[in-house]
Amino acid sequence: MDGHVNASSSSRSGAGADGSGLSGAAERLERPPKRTQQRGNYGSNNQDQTDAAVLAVPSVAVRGSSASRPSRLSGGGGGGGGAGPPPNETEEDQGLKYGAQHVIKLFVPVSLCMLLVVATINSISFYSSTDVYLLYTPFHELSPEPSVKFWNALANSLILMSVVVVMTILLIVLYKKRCYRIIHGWLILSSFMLLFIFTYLYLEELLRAYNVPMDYPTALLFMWNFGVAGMMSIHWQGPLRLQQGYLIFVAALMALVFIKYLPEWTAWAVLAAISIWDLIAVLTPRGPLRILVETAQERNEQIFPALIYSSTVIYTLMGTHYTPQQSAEPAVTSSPSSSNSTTTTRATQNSLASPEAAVASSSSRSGNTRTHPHQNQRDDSNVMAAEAEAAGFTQEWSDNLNDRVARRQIEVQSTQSGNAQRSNEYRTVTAPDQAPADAQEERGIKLGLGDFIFYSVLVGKASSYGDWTTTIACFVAILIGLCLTLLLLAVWRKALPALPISITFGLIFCFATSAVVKPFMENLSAKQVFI
Amino acid sequence: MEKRVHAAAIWLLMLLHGAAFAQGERTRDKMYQPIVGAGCFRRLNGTHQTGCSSTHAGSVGVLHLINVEADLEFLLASPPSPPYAPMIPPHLFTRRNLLRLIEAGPSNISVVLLINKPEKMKQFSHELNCPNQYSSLNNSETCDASNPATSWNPWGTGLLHEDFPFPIYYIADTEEISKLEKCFLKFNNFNYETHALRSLCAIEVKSFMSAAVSSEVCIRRTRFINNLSGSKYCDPLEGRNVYATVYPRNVSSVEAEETELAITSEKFILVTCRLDTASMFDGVGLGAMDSLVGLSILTQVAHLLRELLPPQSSLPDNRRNVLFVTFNGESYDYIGSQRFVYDVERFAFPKSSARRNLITFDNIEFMLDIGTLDDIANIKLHALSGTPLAQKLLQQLNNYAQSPRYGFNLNIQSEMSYHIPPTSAQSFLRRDPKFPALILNAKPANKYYHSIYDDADNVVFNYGNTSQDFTLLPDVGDTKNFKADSLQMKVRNVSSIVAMALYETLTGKEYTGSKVANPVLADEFFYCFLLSADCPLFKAASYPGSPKGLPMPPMRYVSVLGGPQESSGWTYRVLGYLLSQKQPKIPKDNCTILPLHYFAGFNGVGECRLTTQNYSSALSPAFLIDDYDWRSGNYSTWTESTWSLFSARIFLRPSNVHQVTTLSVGIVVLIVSFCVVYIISSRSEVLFEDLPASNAALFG
Amino acid sequence: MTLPEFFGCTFIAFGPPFALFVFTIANDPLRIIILIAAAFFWLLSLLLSSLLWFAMIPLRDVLAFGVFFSVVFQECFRYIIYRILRSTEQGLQAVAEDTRVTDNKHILSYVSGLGFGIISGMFALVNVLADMSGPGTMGLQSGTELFFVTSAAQALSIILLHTFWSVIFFNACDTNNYLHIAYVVGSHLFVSLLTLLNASELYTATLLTNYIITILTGLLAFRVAGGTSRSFKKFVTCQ
Repeated sequence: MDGHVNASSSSRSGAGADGSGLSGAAERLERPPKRTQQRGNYGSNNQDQTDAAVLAVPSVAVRGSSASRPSRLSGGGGGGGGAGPPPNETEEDQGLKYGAQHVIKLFVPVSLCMLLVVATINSISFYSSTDVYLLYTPFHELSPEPSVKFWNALANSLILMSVVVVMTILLIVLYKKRCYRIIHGWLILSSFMLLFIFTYLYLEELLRAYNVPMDYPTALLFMWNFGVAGMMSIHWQGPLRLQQGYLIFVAALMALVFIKYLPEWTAWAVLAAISIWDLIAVLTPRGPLRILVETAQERNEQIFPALIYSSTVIYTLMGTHYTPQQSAEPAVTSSPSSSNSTTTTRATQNSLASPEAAVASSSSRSGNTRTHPHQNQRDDSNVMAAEAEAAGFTQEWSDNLNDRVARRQIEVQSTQSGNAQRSNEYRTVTAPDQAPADAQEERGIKLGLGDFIFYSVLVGKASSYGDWTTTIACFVAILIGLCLTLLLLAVWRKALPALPISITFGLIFCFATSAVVKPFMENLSAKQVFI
Repeated sequence: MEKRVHAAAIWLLMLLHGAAFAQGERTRDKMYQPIVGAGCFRRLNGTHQTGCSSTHAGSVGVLHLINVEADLEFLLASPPSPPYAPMIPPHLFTRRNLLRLIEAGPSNISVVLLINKPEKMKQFSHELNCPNQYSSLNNSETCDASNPATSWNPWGTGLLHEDFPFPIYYIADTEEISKLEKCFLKFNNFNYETHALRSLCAIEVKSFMSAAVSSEVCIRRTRFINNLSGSKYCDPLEGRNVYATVYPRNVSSVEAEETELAITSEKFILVTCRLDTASMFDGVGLGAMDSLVGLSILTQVAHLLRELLPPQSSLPDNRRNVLFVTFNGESYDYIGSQRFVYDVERFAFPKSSARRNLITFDNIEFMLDIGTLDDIANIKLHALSGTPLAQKLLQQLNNYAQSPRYGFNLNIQSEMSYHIPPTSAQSFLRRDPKFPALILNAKPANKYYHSIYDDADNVVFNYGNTSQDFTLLPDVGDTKNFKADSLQMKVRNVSSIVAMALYETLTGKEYTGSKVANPVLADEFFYCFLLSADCPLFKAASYPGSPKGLPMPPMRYVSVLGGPQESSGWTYRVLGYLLSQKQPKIPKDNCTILPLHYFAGFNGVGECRLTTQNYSSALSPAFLIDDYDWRSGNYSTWTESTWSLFSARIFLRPSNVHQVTTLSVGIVVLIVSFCVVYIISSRSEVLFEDLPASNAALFG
Repeated sequence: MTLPEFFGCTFIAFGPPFALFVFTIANDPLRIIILIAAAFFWLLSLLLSSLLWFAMIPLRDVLAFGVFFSVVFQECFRYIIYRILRSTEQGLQAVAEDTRVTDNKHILSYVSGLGFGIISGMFALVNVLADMSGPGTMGLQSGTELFFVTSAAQALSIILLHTFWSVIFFNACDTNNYLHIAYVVGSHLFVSLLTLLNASELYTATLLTNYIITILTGLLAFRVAGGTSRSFKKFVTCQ
């Protein structure tokens, strides 16, 4: 077993050196068994198994069929193309299908978050007026001149973005130096701030907005329970719904903070800038987020600073659907990438979903020789894990489930933070998880909380002008953008930035609606004309 | 990113440009019509809250015009469609009527509108009979509210110190009033029995006050450590006293070392008056008679003394000086003077940044307080006891007042008893009854004391607009075409008398010159403070080319920290200008460091002057003392509640019948549609039978 | 506060579409996505017509012009949606969890029509509804108290009409039934132009006509979707 893994890893690095062709071929080789497995699952009409099988696919289908993808994309995305899906792409259809479900699973929390922000903006005037400013926005746009405001906004967003970049780099350095305690302390502190101080502020303003008197013992009791429950469910363990609820609330709170403290034009500029930064950070070969992903992959660890919302749903079914996967395992272990992904996930609960293969290929593409020793190391651990599994680990595995979930939560979600400079780490959509064996647990689609935050900032800012048509237009545009992103995700199968498309759509529709559509609609509705 | 921002900017620009001619009309613009006016707001002291507040969402009431008192009966005897909003003219805005409205309860009366129809008004003062009663000398003789003869404001209703359960909104503009009346006549003023069945014209007033109960409570809430958002519930009333000396004081020899500031050996005659006024409504209220006359006399006296007195070195006692102080916040339990006394007692006046030697009570020779001079022909000199000092000054004053040489023809009487008017001197006397305080005050004759109607008409002020140099002193015979009984001449006379008496006190010699105060200065002064801050006097007292004042009178309410503080600012400049010495040799460029200050001057060319004026804080010591006992009554505890906005708008309030019908139709539609859709979707295969079985599922 | 009026009108306008959404859309993720996509395309059409209206400065006050082009654009986008949905049908078939979506073509048209309708109704009514939640009602300077109720009823008819139109339109495109296409475009134009009369408060005329057209269109859509009087009888008699 040991020798086998070593060989496979060396063949892999060789492929990286030679170019993508070899590794692509190697990956294709492993497809047939997986396909059959997956077919079997699908045929059994069990949805969870289907999911698991589909999740296994991405790890092998990274670049192999990229040529045919665009047409697939346009067809599925409603872009107007006419071609039907190529016959060899059925597995991606499954990806999409299951995407549809997951799109909704993201739509709901995103909508809830935006709803919360919009409702707050419209009912609590505290959040819609900016009188205090963040340290990072030294220009306050007080001049009536549009040109001055424009430059202020530009300068503010540049400062803010450079802070974001600097903090990201700082984080990478900390992470590379393995200063986990510092990072954890930082993250716990910031989540503590959000859950206690900012929540208290919110409560205070809420009570004030509705003129409800509340005595301090009640308020403190409530705050204590709310905050502690939040810290527990976010950092340790708790019911999934509760955790999701807390994450949505925290994101909404953060969005409100941005809306409250950023000057008006700066907020728009920051939205635009952050989505571009998102694009760079996730997609460029040396983008900070990508480096983080790679480092984490090398270390067999959680990708560290991602506070992500996970739509993972079914815990209870894990044990029962595990067996078929297990039986498939021996066949799969012969292929390096799948065994990697299996065990990596097994060992580290890697939930950030940048597919193994995608990372591996990208790192090999960029000629990153560092991967080699790590690869070995990882494979070693893989082997151990695989051995454990082969020894009938199933029962214990499901027994340990809760612990591992908790660990994942600690590692993943502890990154929430209350300050602006860290917001960049919040986003990154992740593909339906690649880990076949752990699929039941990990298959949920994941969306960085940063995306929640900035979507909500956009919609909240739009609604602060008091025009509901603009708000609705932004909302629809963002959802469609998210939909497209997820579609691309299903097609490309690698971590994608979720902001650019949605924010672009949102900005366009926000300004277009408030400038052009709004007067038109107001004219119509004042005269009760319906179109 | 730039590109994106650029695009955003272009869109915004388009929006701005488009807005000019493509702005659609929101439905609410058709539904609502804003009404401009001034709101009554809430003030709190150590124990109570006074004033008014709307409900949190805004108080709504059906308009009802009150022409005669009988109209009120309709509202008070179970009206058909409550709550109502009576529109009351000032002559019916009486204590009795208001108390009846309060009694009717907020379910019947939700808003009260005061409309500016003063034709039948005889009096309008809502201050107490004894203003500042609880911070004055604790003596029944000082003021007796039950006895109009000895009270200081016999017309007062005390409504200013009532707590109203509804907002009171004052509408001054006749156009706005006619809007309201038109709406009332069109929708409400017929068929009163069917009010409940039809839509009625109603008004919504939003003036929610965030503070409640008392200053103690709201200050505690504001200061509380858990108040994370830093939101304020109330602010202490706070302003600035303005003081100036007739002779410049030497810069303290010790270099700005706070603790080592020496106590001066100078001797001061304190001439004081009050700076502020009060009224029930926000931003309205000039206090023409109740405090502005006193202030104008003080400035005139200051100017006259500045021009008449010889250099300080040639005085018999060259340590003598005159300190003019205008106290702010005096309407609210003597905030300014209490603070002044507090500071002087604690060796903190002037503050160290002024870099002048400290003044203590030992340095104060005596105090001449100019109170309210309602009837200038009937001035009395008040003092607690008939000290020789008082007798001497009275004699000096009368000497000039009755002197045929000047023809002022005034007789200043005296009253040496505990019947002391409610002026700043009370704070000094409260500390030490033996303090040599003399008060010039007239018999109360102001029927509009502390009200919105104490304006230019109340003091019969007609602007002369002479365009003459008000800084020159005219001869006594030169009346500048002002009538002898005009306000300008009265002020000229009194201030000349006071200035001459002080001249005699300082120099020890009788004043024999013929120069008297300039009525043009009084004319300009009143014009600035009563009609428009964009006026020659303010312009002359500003830096050349500085922005013009607003074409409206400056606000004279003490307000809070961060408030406009217009009145103290202008007073500071005017006193600085009138009490300064021209320094023709110093060029403009060197004239930047106080006490040198560059003024525009009368003709606007600019002149460098050596000034003496300064500010001192007028924040009640109650807010400085830790663990102050709010109920002790030692110091003023007035605070003003914060509010987010005053707004009022009229609209049609739909009848309950209409609302209930709409709602029930909606609910019926909702329920029916749920049922129908559920039935259709559950049996869709039957309904769309033509399709193949597998396809028969239009509705999931 | 006239919150009762607000809720009443909301229920009138959006009660039926909400019921449709709950019972027929919400269960299927794909339908939700198509619904939102349709709403997005309606937004695009509105954006285009607004741009045109915005650019035609002299014609801004002539609402009939804007209405006409808006209808044209909406129908164009309805056709575009049709093309897109039909061209991705196979893909959808593979993707759909619930095979009925693709087996019954009318479901796609119904869903996209409802998406059109809901967003159109929302855009027409949402600001009016927001204004309604204040303490007042219409009629101070102009307008009548009936303004809100009629607006809500009108919006409901438009939402239902859009749904029916899409069913008819998609089917007509499939079967090259130009008469039906003409009917859809014509009735849409007619209804929209008819509502211009609302400005002069001829509510009975407009509402009555609109609801007659709505019922007629509904019947036509019913026929198109495979319903017959026989099936209706069966349906009613619970067989």
